[in-house]
Amino acid sequence: MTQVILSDDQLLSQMEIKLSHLAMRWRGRQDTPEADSIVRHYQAILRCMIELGYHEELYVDSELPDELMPQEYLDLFK
Amino acid sequence: MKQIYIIGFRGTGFRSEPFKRQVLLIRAGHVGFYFEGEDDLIFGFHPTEEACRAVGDDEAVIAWLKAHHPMTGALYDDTAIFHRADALAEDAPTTVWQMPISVSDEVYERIRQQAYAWYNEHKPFIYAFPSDEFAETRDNCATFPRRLGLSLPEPTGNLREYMPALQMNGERWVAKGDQDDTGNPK
Repeated sequence: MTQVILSDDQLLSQMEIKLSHLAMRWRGRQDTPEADSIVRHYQAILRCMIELGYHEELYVDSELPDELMPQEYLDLFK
Repeated sequence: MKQIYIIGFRGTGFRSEPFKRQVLLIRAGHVGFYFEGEDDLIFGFHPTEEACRAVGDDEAVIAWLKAHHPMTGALYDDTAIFHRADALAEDAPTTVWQMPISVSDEVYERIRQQAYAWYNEHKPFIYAFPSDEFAETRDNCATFPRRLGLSLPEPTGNLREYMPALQMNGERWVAKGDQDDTGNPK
């Protein structure tokens, strides 16, 4: 098996794409029991990205509504 | 054969102070299309002014869309938006990219007539941010060209994947006044 080691930039890029997918999924299922789980998953990834040094603004359609975004992310822009 | 161009840029975002006075589409990012030899009219699909007014200011509109509420959208002449994005690109992530799609003369003319008809009659379509659900019945600016039968650089309209795909399959677009004699940016 080949082991692939990602640089921080590659890892952050993959995580950013994952967030965009989760935002799409949340928008389609926000009234279902799965919604809370999607939000927790999203927040955990974004907090991890910030820990790794991410300080950019996400694409607008990759974000959840502000009340569901982690405070650590909102604080980046104060 | 003739070309139809899909054209787009990443927005400045809504959180960074220097760009808070820019219009909504510059901050959000935008995708449009134009016909070969006619880039003085770049079409773009976005919510109507009436639909936006009913929701509130720009921040309210974006909050509404993030919560996956649909809005009425229509085709507009957004040429000035793409020129503005290109002009800002030295200081913002708004570099404009375009991807040519080759079609037969017959298909070109059919698509062109359809686009102008929808534009002139302000035909309403449902606008929404991309999601796993309702993907066939709702569009954002990036997926709208499929209504005309155009192939997309990325099928869902998720801008985080769509814009790199547009860039990878295309080339930089430069407004006519900003080109040197060879067509490159001045």
